[in-house]
Amino acid sequence: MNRDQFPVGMRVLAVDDDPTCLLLLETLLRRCQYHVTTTNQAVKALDLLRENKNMFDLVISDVHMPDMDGFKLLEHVGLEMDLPVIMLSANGNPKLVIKGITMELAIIY
Amino acid sequence: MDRNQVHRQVALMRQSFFDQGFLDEQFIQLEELQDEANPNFVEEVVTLYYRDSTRLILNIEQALEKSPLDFNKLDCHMHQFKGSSSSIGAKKVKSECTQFREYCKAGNGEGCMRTFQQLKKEYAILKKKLETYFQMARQAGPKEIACRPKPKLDICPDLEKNYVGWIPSRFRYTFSF
Repeated sequence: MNRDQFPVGMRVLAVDDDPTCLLLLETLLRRCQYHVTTTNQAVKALDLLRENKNMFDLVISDVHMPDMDGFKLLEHVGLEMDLPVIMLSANGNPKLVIKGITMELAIIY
Repeated sequence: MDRNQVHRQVALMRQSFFDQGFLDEQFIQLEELQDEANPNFVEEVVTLYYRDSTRLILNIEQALEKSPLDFNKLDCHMHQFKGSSSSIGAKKVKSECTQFREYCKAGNGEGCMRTFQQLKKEYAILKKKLETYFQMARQAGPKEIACRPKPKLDICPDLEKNYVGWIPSRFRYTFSF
């Protein structure tokens, strides 16, 4: 991918257990002309990523999910796939931000 | 009522939601994502929210029936519900969620229950208002979408209508949910 150009067609995996937030995220990402795959379960996300490591360029995930904590997902993705991850949270707790940063990723909240 | 009058009514109703504090700017973000490819996006998201949030409300109701109250669990459920409500711009509902979480932090069960009743009222009032709004907007027809200026993403101010010549090192996204 040419680094000087906007990443049109970037393949994003979006994970959020809340269907409203997931639909909103998906639509925003499509508006950016990304290829978006969505799932509401972290476990399914990991399966998708393990199935084909080259299927995605970026993972965007919610932090608070019932089947797996977002940070746990991040750990797996970091160790197994070496993909960039963006964590989303409505939680402004600074401890959470520091936890994310020490795991070397960007947090948007 | 002729079509122009209906359009005016819809616009006035919409403005009143902001003026009276029922909705905030997040709702405008939803409107900006609506286009010819996605002509009913706002209504779809709102419908999805009201459908899905019934289970979140049920979770909170069930948790409030337990004795003693598990404030951590209540706070966790409310965090979810607040996030969902924020995503459609439900300002008054979101405010009640914040209040509820304050009472959870303080371990105030009475406060939680009182606030939850108020929250459910606001939630129901907004639902009714939005149902009426969408019904009228559908009656008014597609002029609403055609009138709206082409939406812009809130990203790098250097970005104009196309993406040529954009510089990654100054790239900043703001997504607010």
